[in-house]
Amino acid sequence: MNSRVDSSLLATTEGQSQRLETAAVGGVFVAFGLAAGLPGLVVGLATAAVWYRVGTPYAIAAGHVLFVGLTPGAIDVISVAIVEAALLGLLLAPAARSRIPVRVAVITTLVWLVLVGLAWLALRSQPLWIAGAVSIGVFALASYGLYRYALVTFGLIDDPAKTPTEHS
Amino acid sequence: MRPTRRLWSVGGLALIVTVLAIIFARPLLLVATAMIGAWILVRQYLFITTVAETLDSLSVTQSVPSMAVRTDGTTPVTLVAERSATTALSLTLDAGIPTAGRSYKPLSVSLGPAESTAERTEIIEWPIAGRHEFDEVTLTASDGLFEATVGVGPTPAVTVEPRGPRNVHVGAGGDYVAIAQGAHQAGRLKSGLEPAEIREYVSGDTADQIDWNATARFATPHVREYETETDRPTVLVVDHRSALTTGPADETKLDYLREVALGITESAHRLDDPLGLVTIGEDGITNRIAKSTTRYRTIRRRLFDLEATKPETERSVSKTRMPTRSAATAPRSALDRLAVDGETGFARSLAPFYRNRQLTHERIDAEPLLAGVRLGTSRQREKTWTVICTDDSDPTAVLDAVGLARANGNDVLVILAPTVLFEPSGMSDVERAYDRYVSFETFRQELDAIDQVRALEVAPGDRLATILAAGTGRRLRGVRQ
Repeated sequence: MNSRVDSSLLATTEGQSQRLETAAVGGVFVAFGLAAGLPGLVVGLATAAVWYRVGTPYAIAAGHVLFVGLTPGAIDVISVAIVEAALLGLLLAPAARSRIPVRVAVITTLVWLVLVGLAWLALRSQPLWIAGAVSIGVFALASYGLYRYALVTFGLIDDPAKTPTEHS
Repeated sequence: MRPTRRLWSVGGLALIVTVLAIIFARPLLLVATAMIGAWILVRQYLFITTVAETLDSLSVTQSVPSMAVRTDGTTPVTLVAERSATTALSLTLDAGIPTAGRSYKPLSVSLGPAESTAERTEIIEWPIAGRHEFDEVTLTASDGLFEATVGVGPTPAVTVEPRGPRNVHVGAGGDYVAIAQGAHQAGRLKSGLEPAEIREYVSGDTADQIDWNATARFATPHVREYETETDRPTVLVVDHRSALTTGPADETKLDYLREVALGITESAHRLDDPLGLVTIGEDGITNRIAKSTTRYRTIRRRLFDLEATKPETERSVSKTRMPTRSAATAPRSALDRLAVDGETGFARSLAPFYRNRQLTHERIDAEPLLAGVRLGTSRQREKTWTVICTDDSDPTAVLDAVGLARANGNDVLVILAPTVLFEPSGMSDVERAYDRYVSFETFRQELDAIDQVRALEVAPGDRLATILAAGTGRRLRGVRQ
C-alpha cells in the first residue's frame, strides 16, 4: 500500500506530472540551499525524504519546522520568499495530474493566500495565538461549508416538508 | 461525506504546526498551516465535484424478474451499475435488499477507476408476506481522503403473497355463489320485535295483542303481528382424509375447503348462530365440538390445525367415541333375537326392517363421512343446517351422507372440491379435464336437485376458468363443423 497521502483523483499516472513534481522537490532542495547554505541543503534533503515517504503536507510541515529551527533569529525576507515559493511549487505540482490543472492551481493559490492573509491581518493587531486560531478557524469553517455544499449537491438534505411534525 | 483516517492525520498535522507556531512564537509556521489547509480544501472540492459528475453519469438498476412471489419463494435480483464517464473514484454499490428479504451473500458490486460496468446477481429468499420495497442502492465513493455514501437508483417492490388458496371460487357450474348468511327470519308470525302485519282479531287472540290504534282506525278489533327472528344452528362436517391432500402445497382440496369452512364460521359468529364442528379423518372422527354460540374461536383454531390424515399413520388426535347402541336397538343383535324367536308373525314383520337398517348401520360404521354426519346431526331437536365439506372421490358416500344429513327436515349444504381441478397433472390435457369436470358437474347437479340440499363447488378460480374456456372452445368448434 502506498503510504504517501494524497487523493486518488490526483494519483500519479503520467510521466510528465511525475517529472514536474520531482522538479518541484528539487526546487525545494535548491531553495533551502540558497536560503541557508549547507545546513539548508541538509534540511532540503530531509524535506525531500519526507515528501517521498509520506507526501506533500508532511513535507511542507517538516520543511517549515526545520527551516525555522535552522534560523533561530530573524529571517531574511528574501530567504523566506525563496523557500515559500519553492514549497508553494511543491503544493501546486500535483495539480498537473488533475483533469483541470489550471483551475486547481489557481484555487489552491487563492485559498492559501486567503488563509495567510487572514492570519497576517489578525497578527497585525492581535497576539500570535489569536492569529493561529483564526487560521485554524477559517480553515475549519471553509471545510464545513464545503461539507454542507456536498450534502446539497448529493441530494442528502431532507425536505423539511416531508419531516413528520413532532407532537409534544 | 466523511473524512478518512488519513485526512484526519493531515488535519492534525495542521493543528500541530499551528501549536508549534504559538509555542515558539514563529509566525512563519502559520504559512505552513495555510498551505496544509489549502491542500485539504482543494482536495475536498475536487472530491465533491467528481462525485457529483459520477452521480450524473452513473446508471444503477436493481432488477427483479418477478414482482410477485410466494412466501419462502426465491427470486434472483440483479444489480447493474454503468457509468458513461470514467473517473479516478473507486465505487462500491450495495443493493437495497429489504429487511424481509434474505440473502446468503451480500449483493454488491465494485467499480474500479478504469471500469465502466459491473453486474452481479444473487438469489434472495422471501420468508415474510407483504409488499417489500427495495431501498435505494447505496453508493460509496472514496478517493482515499474522503468517503461519501449516497442512495441512487430506482426502488422496485416485490409483493410476497402468503401460501394458501388464491382466487377461491365457490359456486355452481362455474358461476359464483355467495354462501355468507344474512339475518334469517323464521317465516313465522309471533311475538317479537319487528312489526310484520295487522290483521283482524279472531277468537283465541289475547287482549294484549290488540293494536288499539289500528282498531280505532278500522272500527273493528285488529291485532298486530310481529316477525320473529331465529338462530340457525349449523354443523360443519369437514372431511380431512388423505384424498383431500390432492393439489399443490398449501393449495390442496383441504386448504380450499378450510377457507369455505372458515367463512361459514365467521358468518355464524357474526349472526350469533350456534355452530358445531365434526372433522373426519381416515380412521374416523377426529374432532367433535357440540353446537354452541361460544366456541367460534375454538372451531377456527381446529380448522386451522386440520391436516390431511393418512390411513397408516398413527395419529395422536384422540378419536371421539361413537355412542354405543343398546343391544335392543342394534340391528345385528335385533336380527339375531328375531331369528331366535323363529317364524312368528312379529319376527316376519320386523326382520326386513332390521335387515335394511343393518346394511345402513354397517355402511355408516365403515364410512367415516357417514359416521361424522350422523354424529353431527344426532340428537337434534331443532332444524339444523348441515354443511358437508368434502370432495368428489366417493360420490356414493357423499350421497349417503347427504341423505343422512337431511333427515328430520334439515337443510344441507354440500361443498365439493372437484379432484380434476386440484390434480397437478389434471390440466395437462384440457379436453379430458373438461370431460371430467362435466362428470363432476353432473354429480353436483344430482345432489343439488335433492330437496333441501344445496351443492356447490370450491376450486381455484383460474383453473376452473381455463377448463370452462376449453369447453366453450369445443362447443364453438362443434357449431362450425
